[in-house]
Parts: sequence; structure tokens; C-alpha cells
Amino acid sequence: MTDSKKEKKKEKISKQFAISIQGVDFSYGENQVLFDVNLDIPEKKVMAFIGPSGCGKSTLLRTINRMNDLIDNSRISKGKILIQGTDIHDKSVDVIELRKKVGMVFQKSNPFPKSIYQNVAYGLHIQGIKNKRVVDQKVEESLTRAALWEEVKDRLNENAYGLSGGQQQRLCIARTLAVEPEIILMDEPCSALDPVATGRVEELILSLKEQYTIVVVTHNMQQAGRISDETAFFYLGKLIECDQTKTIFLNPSKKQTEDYISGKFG
Amino acid sequence: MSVVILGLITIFLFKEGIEFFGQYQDEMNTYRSSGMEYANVVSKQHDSQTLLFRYLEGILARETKFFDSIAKNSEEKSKAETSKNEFLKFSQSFQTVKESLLNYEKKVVKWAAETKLFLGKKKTVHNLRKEALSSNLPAEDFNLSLEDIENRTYFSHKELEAWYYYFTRHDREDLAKQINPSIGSESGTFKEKMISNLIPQIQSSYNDKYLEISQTQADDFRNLFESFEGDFSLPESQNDFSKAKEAVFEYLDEIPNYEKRLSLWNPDSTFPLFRAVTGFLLGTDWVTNSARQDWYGVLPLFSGSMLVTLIALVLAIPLGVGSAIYINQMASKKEQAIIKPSIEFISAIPSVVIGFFGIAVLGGIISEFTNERLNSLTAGCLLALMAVPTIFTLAEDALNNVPRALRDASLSLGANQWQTCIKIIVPSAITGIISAILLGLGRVIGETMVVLLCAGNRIAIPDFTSGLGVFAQPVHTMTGIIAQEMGEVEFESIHYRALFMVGVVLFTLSLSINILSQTIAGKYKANY
Repeated sequence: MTDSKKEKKKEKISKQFAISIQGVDFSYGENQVLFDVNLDIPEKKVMAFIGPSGCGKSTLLRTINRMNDLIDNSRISKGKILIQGTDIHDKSVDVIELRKKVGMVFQKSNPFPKSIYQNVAYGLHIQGIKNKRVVDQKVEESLTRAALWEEVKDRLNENAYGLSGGQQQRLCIARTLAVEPEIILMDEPCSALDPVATGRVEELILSLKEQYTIVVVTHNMQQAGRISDETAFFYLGKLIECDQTKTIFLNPSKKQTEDYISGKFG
Repeated sequence: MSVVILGLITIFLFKEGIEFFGQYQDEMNTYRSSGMEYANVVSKQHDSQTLLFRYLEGILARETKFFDSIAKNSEEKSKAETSKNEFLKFSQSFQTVKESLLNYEKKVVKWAAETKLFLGKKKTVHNLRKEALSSNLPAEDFNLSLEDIENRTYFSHKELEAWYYYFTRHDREDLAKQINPSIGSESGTFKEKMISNLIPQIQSSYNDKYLEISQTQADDFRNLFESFEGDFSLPESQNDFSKAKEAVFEYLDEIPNYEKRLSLWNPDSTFPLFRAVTGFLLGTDWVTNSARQDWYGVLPLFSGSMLVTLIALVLAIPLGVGSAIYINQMASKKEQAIIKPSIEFISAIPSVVIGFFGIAVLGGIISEFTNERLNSLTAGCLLALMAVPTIFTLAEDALNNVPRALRDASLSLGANQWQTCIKIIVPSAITGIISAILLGLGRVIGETMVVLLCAGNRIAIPDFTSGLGVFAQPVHTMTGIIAQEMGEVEFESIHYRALFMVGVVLFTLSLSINILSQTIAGKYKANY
């Protein structure tokens, strides 16, 4: 552990961590993809995961809300993940409750083949909230927060597939917000969007960090620089370096980080 | 390629079938002009009387049985005897009244049948003459003109024989057979009768005989039932008798309808072609090789097919779709490896084997609950068995095609697997599932062997008023009738063509189901 890392640790210890990843090894069957990852993610900040393809950043993201449970033979072979101090693999943890608390936005926008309204209301309906007034209000609130309300308020009952790619992605974010998560995981949310739509989603992320802890996986270094407070660099399944975004970009302590950021590989 | 084959099938089906309507129109015209139509109305009236009489017979049988069961020499016995004998007398007088119409019916039917036979012969001669001339046979022995034939009121046995030999001389046995001079002859000699007189005879008999018979009968029936109170030993009989009485008065109210139909009969009027079409599509009788009149109404076969299909789908949809959902969403790899091939294996069983299974095993089980071994329920269950693999395989494909991202999104929102399945996966795949069901439906409608073996093959419209009992009724189906009768019909006869028309109906039905499912499946693909 380097000096700077030690300092940072000390600094953060006073704060409460939203997510604390402690020595996690993860493998798909025989194929180990994460090696001894230690990472603390502070509350109400944006954390960016960067690194070349196949470095395990998406896998790590998906272990945080246990989406990897759905993949056969995948498992955490060592270490644990704490969310607000609770081990998410503890037997007492209900995975449904966990996923309500930890929302997720995917790489490719994936609205349900339903109306815009239904898409946002879905999370509420499955929680058994039937009161139409409450649901209506929640839908409006979520869409407003996702900066989509003005664009869709007159066509809430139209199919979500009629929206543009950027709008669909913001709809997916609104859908996630509706269930009132505390942490939002975003898996390359802008990779399929054009620059204008990307800009809108980035603005949205910045506005959301006041209320939510956000973890973003991205391939786009500029994006990481624009939106994140802290950045973690992964390479070949290992966490190479994690620090303030400014530090990582201007003054990385590891050679690999510097090479990656300056575009020598990746 | 497939379009060409489809086109050829359509063309040939229609080519063979379409002439049916012309022939059927001819047949119906003959039916009318020969007086058979008139005779049939009389028969129907008499049949309804017979039905009433059956009622009385039923009561009488019960009363007699009761009488036999009482010990001798008791007071009760003598009382039962009087009431029984009185009722016996009553039903005998009913039968006597009924007889007058029966005699009239017999007479009219005889006249009509003779006329019909003659008209048929006339047509044969007409056709044969045309054929003889067109195939350049020396025509000196067959020198009737068409007008001659039209105006004939009879053909003598001598003439028929001469034509018979004319064709046999030229090695045209097949044509000679059509003449067959022995038909219509009594003890070898042709009974020369002025057929042209029979029609006026029937017509005049309406005023001379029928009206009198019908009215006298009506009065007699009324008197009979009004004077007889009925003193029965058993309360059920009393009950049945009052029902019979009601039925009789209903019948009496019907009489003006019969009279009206008979008075409207006009042997010279003809049926328009559309009557042949509606007669086929909406006809409620399928009667072939009848002594009086053949009917080709597709409705009993169509409704039979529909009933069997309905039963099959009601069973197959939940099973097929349910197992597809289970296998796709919930089953473990191991379960998948066992269940999937075994469901798909069912489609490899030859349908005749499934039919055997139905007769030997399922029929036995079903006859525990119903009276018949082979009925629409037996056939429906087996068809369901055959439709399940189709529905299962296609529905499972449809579920597989739902993007994984939708499932992930739903789960990440905190839905459990069941909610995800019901609210996201199934609705997303619904068009695919519907088209799977429609293809299963197509499979069921087109299935032949199983229904032929197991549906009971009674040609009648199922009695839908009997509630659940309708499933216990034997039915005949469109596919079944084609398979059963096609091998035996005379080539290019009206019956042959009627079967082709049934084929056309079936083909249209299957084709539209397939097109519908393709359209739905196409819409589904555009969704992602």
C-alpha cells in the first residue's frame, strides 16, 4: 500500500462508506476474473470505474447488487462486499430488498415493451403500490428528476420504444429512481448514445449525486473526468489504483495508470 | 417454390370442388320438381307425430312394468290394470289417428320417388347422348334429339335396352352401366307410367286429401287429449303425460306452418345458385346414399371439428404454454435435459398409434364418466396431446427470444423471478406465444387419423344446449369425413365434389390460421 493510499484511507475513515469491497476474488467457473479487490466507495459521490475491456470492472459492478447470482457457476470465492456495513451475501439479506436499495442502469437502454408510464410505474407495482394517485405522483417525480418529464408528459401512454436512444436511457434511469434506491450502478450508460444525448445523461448524473451514491463504469476517460469525484483503475482483474479523479488524471502514482490514461494501451 | 405448390393445391382443390355448386343446384332443383320436397314436409309432419307417440309409448312401458311388479290379486293391482288399459286404449287411438297421415305420406313419397327416378334417367340419357355424339359413335341407334328427351314423359324398357346394347356393342361398358334398364322395372318389365301425371297428382292431393287429413287429425288429437285426464299409478307418468300434452298442443300450433310450406311448393320454380352455396355452408344435414334425397351441409362436420378443436386447445394451451414457461424460466438444467426432449418426442409418435392408444386406453377411462367410449372428449384429449409439442416448442422459442436485458432490468428493480416472468417475459413474448397457439390450432384442425378413430363418427351437430354433456357426444369431423368417404365415392359424382368442397373449407381455415400466426409473428419480430 502506497503512502497516498494510506493517507486517503485515513481521510475516509471518518466518513461512512456506502459500499465497502473487501478482498474480493470472483470467478466464472474455472475462470477467475477478479483478484483481491479492496475498494471503499463514499456516500453521495460519483465513483468511476475505468480500465480496458475485460478488466473486470463490469463484473465488479454486477456483484454489488448480486446480478451475477443469475449466472451459473459464478461465485465470489474470497472476500466480502458490505453495503452500509451489511454483508450482502449474508443469509439474512433479502436479494430483492438489496436490489431495491441498489438500482442499476444498463449499457444498452432496455425499456420494457410497455408504455412510458408503465415502465416507470413497474417498480412500484411490483412492490404492491396500487394507489393511483401515489403512483402518478411518483412517476412524475422520477421523470422530472431524470429530466425527461417535459419531453414525455403528453405521451405517457405511448410505447417506450417510440423514444430516442437518449430518452430511452433517461427513461431507464427514471425507472430506477422510482423505486427510491440509495445507490445507483451504471454500466457504461452512454456507450450507445450520441454526444448530445451523452451530455444530457452526464448532466443528469451530476444532478443526481446530491441524493445518491453513484458508481459508473465507463470506457470514456473524458467522461470519467467530467462526472466523477473518484476514479478506480482496473487492469486484468486487479484494482491498480483508486484516488480522487483529479489525482488519477494529473498525477497517477502507478505507471500502468499513467500509460492507460495517456493512451499508450487499452 | 412453396408459393407455386400452394397455388397448385388451391387451383386443383377449387377445380375439383367448384362444380359441386352447379351439381348441388341441379340436385336441389330435381328435389323440388320431383315432388320430393313436398313429400319431405309431409314426412316431417308425420315424424313429429311419431315423436309424440314415442312419448306415450314410454309412459305405457313404465306403467306396464309397474303393473307387472305388483303382487297378484291385490286391490292395487286391479286399479293399476284399469288405468293401464285405459291408457293403452288411448295411445292406440292416437296411433289410429296418426295412421291417416302415414298413408298419405307413403303415397306421396312413392310418386315423388318415381318422378325423381325418371328425371334422373332423363338426365342420364341426355348426357349419354351428348357423349355418344361427341365421341363419334355411330348414332343411328341413338337418334333421339335433345328436345325429344326433354319432352319425354317416360322411356320404355325397350328403348333403354336398345341403348344399353348400343353402348355395349361399342365396348363402352361403363356408359352402358349407367343406363341399367333393370332399374325401375318390376319383375323385368318396365312399368310404363305417365310420369307427367304424377306431379299434378301430388299438387291436387294437397287440396283434395292433405288438408282434410290434417284438419281431421288436428281435431281428433285435440279431442283425444282434452277428453283424457289420465289416471296413472305413478306420479312420474302423470308428469310425463302433462309434458306430452304440452308437446301435442305445441304441435297443433305448428300445423299452419306445414300447410303453408306445402301450399307454397311449386315444382316449376328453381333454386338460385346461392342457395346451393348456403345449402352447403349452412346446411345442417350431411346425408349420403339416401333413398330419397342426399344432403351436403358442412355444418355438422364443421361444428364437430370445432368442438374437438376447442377441447384440444383448452387442454393444450395451459399445458403447452405452462411447460414452456416452466422450462424456460424456472427449471434447472437437469430438468430441462429430461423434460424438453420427452415433450418433443410426442410429436414423433405416428398419429395412428395415438389413435390406438385412444381406443384402447383413454376410451376406456372416459367411458367411466360418459356413456360412450369414443366421443369428442376422447378425440379432444388426444389432439391436445399432439398439439402440446408444437405449442411448447414454439412458445419456448418465443420466450428465449426475449432479450436478457429485460429480465435483468426487471430483477434489478427488485422484482422476484415470478413477477419478472409474468409481468415482463410473458407479455414480451406474447405475440410469439399466440402464434405458437395458432400453429397448434392449425395442427389440431388438420389432424385426421385420431379423429377418425376416436371421435365416434356420428354425423350430427352436437347439442350445445346440453351443457357439459356436449363433450360426451360423438361427432364427425371435416378431415374424418374426407378420409372415410373419399375412397368409396364415384369419381366426379356430386358426393366426390362435395368432399372436395369440404377440403376447400378446411384448407381455407388452415391457411387463414397460418397467415394470421405469420402476421402476428412478424409484428413480434419488429418489436426488438
